[in-house]
Amino acid sequence: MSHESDARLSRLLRADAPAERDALFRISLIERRERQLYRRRMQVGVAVTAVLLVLPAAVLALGDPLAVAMVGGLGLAVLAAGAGSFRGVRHATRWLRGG
Amino acid sequence: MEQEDAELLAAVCEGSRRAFNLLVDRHQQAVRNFLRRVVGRADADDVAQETFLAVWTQARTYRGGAAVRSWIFAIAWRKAKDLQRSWFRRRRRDAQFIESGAQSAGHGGEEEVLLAQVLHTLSLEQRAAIMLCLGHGLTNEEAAEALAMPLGTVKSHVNRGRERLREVLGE
Repeated sequence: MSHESDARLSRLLRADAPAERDALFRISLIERRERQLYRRRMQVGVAVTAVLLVLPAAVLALGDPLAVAMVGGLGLAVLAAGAGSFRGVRHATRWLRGG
Repeated sequence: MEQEDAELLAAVCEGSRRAFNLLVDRHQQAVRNFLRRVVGRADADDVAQETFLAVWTQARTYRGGAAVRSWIFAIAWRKAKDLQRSWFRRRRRDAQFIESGAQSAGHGGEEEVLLAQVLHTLSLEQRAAIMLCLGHGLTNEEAAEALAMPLGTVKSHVNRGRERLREVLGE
């Protein structure tokens, strides 16, 4: 009796369960994961850029133009990489949505 | 199954997206069902996604003591409790929890409505213990570990919850 009753309760408690396979759930999870990865990359990018903006100012204060140019170039490369990853994530998101 | 889960989790640690997708396919139904009953339909999928993202980022923290399924439920439970801490969301969820009971009624009939109503009268901890032990077949020990509660507390939640459900469902 108790066993049957527990089985019935178990069945009722699981009656509200979603489908065993749910492509939409998985796709939105992948999308969310990509967004999270992108956010982390951006945070690192912003931190690096901030450092690279402070460095030229410091080097400039020391009066070495070559060093300023090198550090500035590096900063631009970091910004370009950040922009590239942003476009990549947007493309991936669109593709996942079937667009 | 359990060994395969552990192997998949080890592969996730190495960055395997395929292994991660397989883990999601295996456990999403149980985790989402657990969360639907614990926090309500409106927030369940959001919390489930946060849970699986945590599985992805925290796979290295799995020590192998508990079953992978219990470990995933433990993460889901922590996320559910985090949600509970927000007062505004709790108010909204309470309203939606009742509404989701009404939605279930369309699919499962009177028993489903009664079940949803009774679950709503129980505490978050009781609902979680009942779902893990009665809904998903975890042992009391596994549930105690997943919910980070003393074994006696889990047993008490399950026994009282079971009695209450039987009473309302007319057994």
